[in-house]
Amino acid sequence: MKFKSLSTRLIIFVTLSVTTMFVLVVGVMMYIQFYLGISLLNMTTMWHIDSRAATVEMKLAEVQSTIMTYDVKVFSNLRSEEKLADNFNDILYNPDIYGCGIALKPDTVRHRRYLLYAQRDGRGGVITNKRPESYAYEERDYFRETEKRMDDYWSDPYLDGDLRMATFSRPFTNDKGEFIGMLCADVLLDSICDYLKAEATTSSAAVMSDAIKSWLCADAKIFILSRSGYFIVPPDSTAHLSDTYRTYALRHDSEEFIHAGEAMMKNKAEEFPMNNITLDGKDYTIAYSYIPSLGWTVAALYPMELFNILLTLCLLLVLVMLVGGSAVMVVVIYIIVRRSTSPLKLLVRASKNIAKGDFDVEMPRLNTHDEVSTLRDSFEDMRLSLKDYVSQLQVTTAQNERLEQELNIASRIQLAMLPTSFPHPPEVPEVSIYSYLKSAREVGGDLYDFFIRGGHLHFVIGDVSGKGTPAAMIMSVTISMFRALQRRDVVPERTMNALNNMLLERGLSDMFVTLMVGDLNLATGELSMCNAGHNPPMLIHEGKPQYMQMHTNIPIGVLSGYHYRPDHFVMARDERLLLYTDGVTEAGNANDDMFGEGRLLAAAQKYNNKEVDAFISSLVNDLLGFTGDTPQSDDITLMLLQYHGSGQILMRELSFADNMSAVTSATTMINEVCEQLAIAPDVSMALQLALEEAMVNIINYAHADHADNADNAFTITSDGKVINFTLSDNGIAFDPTQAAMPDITLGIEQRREGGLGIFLVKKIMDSVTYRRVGNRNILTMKKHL
Amino acid sequence: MTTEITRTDDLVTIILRGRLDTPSTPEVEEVITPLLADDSIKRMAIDCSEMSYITSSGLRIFVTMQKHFLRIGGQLTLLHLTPMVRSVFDMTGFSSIFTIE
Repeated sequence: MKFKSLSTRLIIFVTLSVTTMFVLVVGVMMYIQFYLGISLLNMTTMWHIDSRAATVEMKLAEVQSTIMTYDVKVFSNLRSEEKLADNFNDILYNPDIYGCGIALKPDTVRHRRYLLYAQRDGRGGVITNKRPESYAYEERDYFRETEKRMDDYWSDPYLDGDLRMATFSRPFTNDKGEFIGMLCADVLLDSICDYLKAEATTSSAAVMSDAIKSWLCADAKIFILSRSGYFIVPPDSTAHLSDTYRTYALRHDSEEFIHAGEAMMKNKAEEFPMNNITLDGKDYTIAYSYIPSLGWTVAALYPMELFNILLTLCLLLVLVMLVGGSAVMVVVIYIIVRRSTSPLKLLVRASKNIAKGDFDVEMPRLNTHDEVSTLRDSFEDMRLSLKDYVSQLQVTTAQNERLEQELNIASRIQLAMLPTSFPHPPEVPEVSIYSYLKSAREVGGDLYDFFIRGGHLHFVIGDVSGKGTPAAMIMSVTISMFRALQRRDVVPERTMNALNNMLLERGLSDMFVTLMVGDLNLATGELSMCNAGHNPPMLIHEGKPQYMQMHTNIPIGVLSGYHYRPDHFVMARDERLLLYTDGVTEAGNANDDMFGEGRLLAAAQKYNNKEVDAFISSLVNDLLGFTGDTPQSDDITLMLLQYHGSGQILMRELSFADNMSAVTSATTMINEVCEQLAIAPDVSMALQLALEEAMVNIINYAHADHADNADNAFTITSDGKVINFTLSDNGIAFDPTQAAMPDITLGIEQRREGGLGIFLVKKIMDSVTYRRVGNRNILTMKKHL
Repeated sequence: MTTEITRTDDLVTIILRGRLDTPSTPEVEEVITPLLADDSIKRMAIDCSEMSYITSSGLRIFVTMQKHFLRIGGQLTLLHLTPMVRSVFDMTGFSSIFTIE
């Protein structure tokens, strides 16, 4: 995403929002102002035109009242021209009256026509004269209208010479109420015009500004319309005396003016167009006032030009203020943001340095107390914490590295404790062994061991409870103790009892070990095993694997003095024994399924045709394929041993009671075997001696007083390289190998009797081993040929 | 096992023939015991040239004889030991106890 600085965003957001608000407010204000302005304009024009109309009305009312004041006098002086002239002079005191006179209906009071008229001479005097009879005034509009109306009447404007005038007429009636003439007064329309234009002197006018005054008075087109639509006062010089509003409007091509005129004629305010009137391309607003006493309508066209200009100016001013204000705002925001963000930039630089690992970087000093300074303080705290943390981490890492190194060494040591060379034919013809151990961690609690000594394969497999270093140490202890014990005693259950007690004596009671100790007689296939709570081993006989039924016992390290019970089997040629730890059967996969004994059994069947090492490798592959990426949770150990048979051939066997004659039979057998095997006579003689000594021991001592029950046996086996004698008896337990040896350096007097026989046996034979199996003593003697 | 005894003055020479094994020990003891009871016999020579085999029980007879002649100040001499017998004597350290010619 493109980088957009905080200031840019702030300026854009704030300016946009504030400007939008400004425009809205200003728009509303302008709208209100416009309508207020229009209303004010209308009020002002109404007031103005009303006041003009009032002035005109007042002046003309004075004219009317003057006429009415003199009408009786004049009526009584109709026959005296002098008196009439006086009356006229009085009337003309009214400055608004330009001239006055009487016009009598012909042939009523006087014969023919009679019109006496007085008017100002222009020098302050009055000229009275009589119109010639030829002047047919009775045909004139003012006379006819007055006669017709029989009431006061203001005439339409007319031109008298070059003077524009209007005439007020008041009719005379005789006793019968018949029209006989009229008294009339002429008013110069120009003087009315002057009244219209004259400055208002009312108090309300004082509040008006000069601009409005000049606008109203100077630029307004004020006019008066007569009852019949003629201009008594024209709006401007283009108006003819004969113009009506209609002819004027048509000439000026203003439809709106016609509508306005029509409304004024009807005196209907509701139809009066308050909207603008366009005249000669200029905008005007119109106002009028009807004078009922005269039947005139005073009206004015007020130019909108100034108003519009004012309005435009106002709008412009607001726009300028808007733009200027926005610009100022942008600058102010920019400065504020720059001032606020400049410490942020310093902070960013500092934090980048921290990210590079420089924890001693100086934090920028800020004089403000705001969010940024809080951030800076937080950064400072973070920097110090990081510094602490990293230094602690370095220490911890160093410690961890050392621990890891030590663990690696421990792991190597532990591996070194396990046997690395696997016996197999031809070096060891009787047995093949292969094993696999993988710890879940660097060091583990699984153990296995095996070694061959005295024609026996001794093996052990086990699993220390728990994992990691403590388990590994117990594992090491267990292996060491197993080796030490097995060197002295080849009976698995005794080894187990001893291991159990040793663990407990050493106060290691919080750890326990499941263990399987075994002993395979390579010559006979006799298998003794003692199980201390370990998984049952699997015996594979002719390709059919099955778990072995045996005493389970309790794991060692649990109960002191517990007597472990052994199990005895005989392995046939090519049978296999699979030993494993629960890390195999309990290996889990991602679905939390366990490998289980079923899969182990199936795999054993599947791979039975493979050699022991390939068997184990395939089985491990299956196991790893099953668990997949699931981390190994427990140590895994597998050990497979295959018994190939002894390779020994049974040469002779002999059952005998406690009878010395059996000795001769036995030595004869040996002699025959030796001849058969082409063994030198001296060796044969020595073998006979050894056997005879061991055999005599049994015959003489084994059964004490129960010689009748004697059931002894002697076998000779050999594979051509080794000759084996096995003597077994059901006598009292006695281990001749433990008997004290005579000191052959002593003189004859110091020599004790006895012990010589077994001494000779040991001297002659390469190995002499004793076992007590069940109720039988078994003595095995072996000699390499 | 056969024995042949010849006497001249105080010297008795015994020829032991065959295997001096455990079963035959008692009969040899029966021959030897009366000779040891005869005080006139001061010297004894055992001819082992035809004794092919000996066991620890046979050795015990020789030990008994040797102790007797040591007590009476006589002399026991073993003659012509076969290799098997000789090796048994060597193994048991008896070669240094007996006078062997």
